[in-house]
Amino acid sequence: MLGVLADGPTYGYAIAQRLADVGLGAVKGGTLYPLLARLEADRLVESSWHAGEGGPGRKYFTLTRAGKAHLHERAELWGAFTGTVRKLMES
Amino acid sequence: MSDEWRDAFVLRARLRDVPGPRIGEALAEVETHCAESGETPAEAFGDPVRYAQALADQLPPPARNPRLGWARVALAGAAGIGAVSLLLSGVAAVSHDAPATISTGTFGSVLIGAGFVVGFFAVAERASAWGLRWLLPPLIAVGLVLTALPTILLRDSSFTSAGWVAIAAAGILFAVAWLALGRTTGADRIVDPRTGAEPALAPKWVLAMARYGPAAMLLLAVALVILLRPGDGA
Repeated sequence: MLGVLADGPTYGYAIAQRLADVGLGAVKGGTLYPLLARLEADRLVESSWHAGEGGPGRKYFTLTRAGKAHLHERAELWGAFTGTVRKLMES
Repeated sequence: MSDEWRDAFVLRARLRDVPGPRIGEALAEVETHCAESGETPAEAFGDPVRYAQALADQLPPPARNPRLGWARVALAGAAGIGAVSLLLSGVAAVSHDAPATISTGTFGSVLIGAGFVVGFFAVAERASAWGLRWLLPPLIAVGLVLTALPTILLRDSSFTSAGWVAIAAAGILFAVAWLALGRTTGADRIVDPRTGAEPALAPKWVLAMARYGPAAMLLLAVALVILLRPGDGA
């Protein structure tokens, strides 16, 4: 989720579509928004409503500085983990 | 968004003391997401009661008290029924120039009524979610009969007071019921974050009754007292 937001501010349905596009399956709204709210409560993400073009308006989510740092830290940990697993699988 | 899904969601969120602005935010999220995905709220967000529950569970402890919503409903039910009983006794007393009598049965009605109101809300949220709202009017009828029974059957006079005192006490209890339901606080209204407006969560006449009903009943009682008061010997 934080990885999707690293590309820039975006809204809930676009996040769900992006996650589906990269093969993570259909993430339902009932899963997506509570998770985004938790990230916002942890100050990793912030949100604001923008008027839609003829639509009902959209809630855009943006990665905060703390969110970027958290993503970087997680990416390093994940990289180290997958590297270790790959070595084990190849040995 | 269907009325049933939204009403069940709002009812559970209110009962779990989720702040009004957070409810408005969640409703707007559901509406915009469904408008873009083409899904129904039930398809995208699942059962409304469970979704509201999940939101409530997510809030930090100081922001809510899980049992406060139910306690408010019970308090509003007890205060509302007590107020109606006192109002009727007070109006009857003043119009007959006699003291108002409060019977043991009145206390029984208040207890049964408070329990019924809590039970009604518990059934109402499930009934909305399951499309069984037609059950509610007969349930209200049964509840009214059960609530009235102790007052009808146990008529012994527990204590008496002047009619005006009973009416004034009814006014205080109406205010308690009103405040318990959070109608007058303003700060905790459900507001659409996109427009700043309150979404139409119920027919306007229902909202108007909830907001102004107690005050209107009190005014009606005062008017009846003035109209029915025995002449001053003239």
